[in-house]
Amino acid sequence: MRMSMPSREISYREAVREAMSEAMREDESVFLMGEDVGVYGGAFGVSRGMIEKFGEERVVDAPLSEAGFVGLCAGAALMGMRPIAEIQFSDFITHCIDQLVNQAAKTRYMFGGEGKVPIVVRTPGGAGTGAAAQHSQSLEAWFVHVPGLKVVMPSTPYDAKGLLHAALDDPNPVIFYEHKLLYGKKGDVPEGPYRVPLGEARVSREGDDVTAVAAGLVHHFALEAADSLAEEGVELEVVDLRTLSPMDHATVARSVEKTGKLIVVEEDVKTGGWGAEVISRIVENGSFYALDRAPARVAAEDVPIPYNKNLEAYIRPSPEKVVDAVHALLDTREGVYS
Amino acid sequence: MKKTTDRRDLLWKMLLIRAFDEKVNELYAEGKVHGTAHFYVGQEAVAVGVISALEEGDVITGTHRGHGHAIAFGLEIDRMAAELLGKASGYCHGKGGSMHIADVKAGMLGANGIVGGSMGIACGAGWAFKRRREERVAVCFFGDGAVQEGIFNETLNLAAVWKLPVVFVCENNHYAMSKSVEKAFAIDRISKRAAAYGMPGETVDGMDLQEVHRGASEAIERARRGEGPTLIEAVTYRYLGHSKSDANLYRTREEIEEWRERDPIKRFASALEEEGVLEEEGWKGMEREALERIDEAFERASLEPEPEPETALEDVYA
Amino acid sequence: MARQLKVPTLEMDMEEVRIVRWLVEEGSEVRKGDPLLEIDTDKTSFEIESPADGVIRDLRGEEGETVPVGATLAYVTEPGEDLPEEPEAKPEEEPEPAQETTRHPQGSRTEVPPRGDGRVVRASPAARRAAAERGLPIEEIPGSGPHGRVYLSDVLEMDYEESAAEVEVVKEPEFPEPSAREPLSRTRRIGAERTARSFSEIPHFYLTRDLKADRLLELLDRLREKMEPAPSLTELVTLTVARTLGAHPRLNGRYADGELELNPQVNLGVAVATEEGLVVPVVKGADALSLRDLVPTIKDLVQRAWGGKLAPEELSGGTFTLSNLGMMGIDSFNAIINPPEAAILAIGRVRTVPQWREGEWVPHRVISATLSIDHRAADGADGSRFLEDLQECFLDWELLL
Repeated sequence: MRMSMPSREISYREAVREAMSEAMREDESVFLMGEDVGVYGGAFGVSRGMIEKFGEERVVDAPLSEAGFVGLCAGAALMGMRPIAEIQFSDFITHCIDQLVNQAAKTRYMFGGEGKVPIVVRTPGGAGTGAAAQHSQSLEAWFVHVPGLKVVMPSTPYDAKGLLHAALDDPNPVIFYEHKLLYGKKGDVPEGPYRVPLGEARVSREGDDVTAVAAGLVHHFALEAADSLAEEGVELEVVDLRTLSPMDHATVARSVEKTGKLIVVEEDVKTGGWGAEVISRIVENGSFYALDRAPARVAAEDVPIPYNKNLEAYIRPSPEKVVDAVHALLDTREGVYS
Repeated sequence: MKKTTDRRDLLWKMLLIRAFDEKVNELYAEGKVHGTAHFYVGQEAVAVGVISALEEGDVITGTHRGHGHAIAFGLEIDRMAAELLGKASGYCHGKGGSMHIADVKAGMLGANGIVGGSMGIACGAGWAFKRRREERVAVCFFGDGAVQEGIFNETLNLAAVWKLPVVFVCENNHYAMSKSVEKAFAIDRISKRAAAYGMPGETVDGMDLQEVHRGASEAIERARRGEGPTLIEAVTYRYLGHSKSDANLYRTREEIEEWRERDPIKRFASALEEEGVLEEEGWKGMEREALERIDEAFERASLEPEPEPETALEDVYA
Repeated sequence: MARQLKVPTLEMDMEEVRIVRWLVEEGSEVRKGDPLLEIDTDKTSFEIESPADGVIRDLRGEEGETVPVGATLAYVTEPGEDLPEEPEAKPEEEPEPAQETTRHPQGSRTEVPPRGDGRVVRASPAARRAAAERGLPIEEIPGSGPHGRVYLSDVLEMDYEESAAEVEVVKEPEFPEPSAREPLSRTRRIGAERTARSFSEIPHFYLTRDLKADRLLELLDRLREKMEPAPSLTELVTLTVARTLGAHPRLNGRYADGELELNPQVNLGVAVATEEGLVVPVVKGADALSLRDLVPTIKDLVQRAWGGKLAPEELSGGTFTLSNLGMMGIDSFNAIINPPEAAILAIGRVRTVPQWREGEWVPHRVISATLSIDHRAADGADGSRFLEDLQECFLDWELLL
């Protein structure tokens, strides 16, 4: 649902900044903590100008201690504050996994429904920058697997701002995945605060022939592939999940009932990736009987991200790979589209 | 790696390191190296000073700012250049890049993209040496940033409790990206932390090769004798930004200039001149040669073949 | 380093090529870029060049053989170099099921029951569902997918064909072009409508009995000698029917809206074939007429029927109809009830048939009588009793007096 406030074109990075700034203005207890977020303006410039506006107690430069400061944020959240913890590269989340998985995610449950940990962990993931194995990963599936955590992955500036506001409202720990290659992407974003609800997917393109489910950067690959396929008369219906946990299986099922064909486009590696969850749910519930082709996934190869640019491209999804996968799924001999 | 006591050779190594990183800096600007790179320019004395105190069979672990350690350890310039250009003949067959250069067989257990990421590995090497009763030592290079990560606490404690033959070398270049040490620590000297773990600690002037070498030698010998780990804090400085993307917003130009006046290469060259080992301004000739050598390496590397796409799928498992 | 020479992808949807001829052989020394072999695709021919300097080793593929894209053709090795080990074949996108009927060790492989002839039907869930909904057996639907896989579109096409076939069956058979068109006479038209209505609305059932006729026929012979004009068999039978019907009011009545309307007298219609069609003049009060009066009455009616000179009231009011096709050679027939009556009696020709009497076959003459009854008005018992009575009359014509 689009708000009818005046909107203008800004970048994804600006949209995130705007959400944080608006939230901070509204609520004293919101603060940002991370490495180089203050004077430096954030490794990707997301928090540029914020320390000047909000001061160093609300835009806090932390030492290189992810376990330490994310744990600290979880504690502050338990005490009623609303912290935004920024992890500079999503690969570094490995430092603070205990704090997220064993502490923040489980506190409410373990303490019998007492206590809330409304922490938002923002972090840029994904590859395509040549930063190699330890700076390019997509590990979101790990956190989809942890009950108690929510995982969000906006693909547009509009969704980034709306989902960040919603994530800050949410009383649960939310991992908010941005993408390094999306920061510069521009889109229409309304002025002022608004929310995009967590747990709701969006059909970004309608079509009758094949359902393509995607999230994050590769949602745009799916849309590009859709344009290309439309020229052949194959109409993709593209579903942007936007939230990976809780996942909106109902929207996917509705689409699959219509098309009978499902392809998942994900940036993480195929094995154990979140795409497996999308497909499993469809197969488990009644929509299995709507399937007229075996479901498919376009994902990264099961390898660490290599440094060489061509090798990196070789193992990553791309719009062309999505088109190829749709062809293979349809088994495109003449007249076989249902 | 070969131990060298030839002091000209030490100067040569420092010049190579500087030429290499300055060349990469240039290439990066020209778009010929992609991804990111972290430059050791200004810190050369630390790598060369420490590593020159090692024996054959000793191992090192590096950091993301790892070209200096690699070159000081004796890794081939050509293969390093090839790796930075992503070529099949690079040390990692184009799959590792700047932050992951390694030659495990030779004892260089890798640069590392994760701050503090290699500290556990260094302890593991020390553990193996001790269990197998080998008189080998592991040197762990890390920065002031790593001191802030939890792994610092854990690995120093383990090394001390188990008396592992590890020398912890903290390259305190004052900044972890934009985080200055004043803002990161409530103490003034990192070496003071050694006491907390029950190991000796020392601060040395990281811009002084001979100082570094002395301190490192003592620590290395201590470890080799089975007396356990040491923490050495080498106070140094990086002239160039944290990485290529660094806009240097967190420090001043004056500060950088101040540190350049204490340049380690110039200092050591002067010392050699005074000793008569090197003629006046002799280091300039060496510098030229170093630049040529690096240019040649990158020239050659640029002609090397790209890796085959399928190699991206190889070596995931042994 | 040895370089692998593989069949390249030269065109977008190329899957395989034919080796036309090799330009080198095992052991040939080649330079990078030297042409090594000629291949043929669907569209055209290509030369494949050497990827490196070296020696050709492990050359595979015969001339004329078809090989898939990506297949190894040879290795170009440095002199003295060993051949590299072949890399592990990557797992196929869709592994062919090795055995369908054994459980996959990790479970979760959908078991597909084999058909009677042992072939397993692979069909998409949507196809199976659609087939089940339409009552089409999935094994009999030809699949357009690889290895005969059945897709939804295949089922939908099949269903369309089946229902299209049904529709054809229902379609009227083509009639040849008529040579001429004859307008029906009024009589025939009305008759057509009435019989159609009678046949579709009245639940007919039929009782047939061969009536022994010897005695009746003896009577007829004697009467013919004595009477002027001489009576016909039809007229005599009319008399017997009229006299007998009185005891069987159901057959003389009419079913109307859940009630049986009874008639006080027998108005017997006698079917007459005229040029204009079938006409049934009615002898009113036939049960009260003597033979002497009945015969000329019928003859008169018949005569005038042939001339088309019957008054409307002579054609209506009947309570029962008699139809005789015996003079036309018919053995027996089922007549359609003349509405609004409840029954009609159809009689055939005199036939001589053997009868077993006292230890021997004896010829005797019979007339087949078929009584068509409106089952709403009367049932089999009623009809049977009437026919029994009629038979008695035929045998003991004295009862008619």
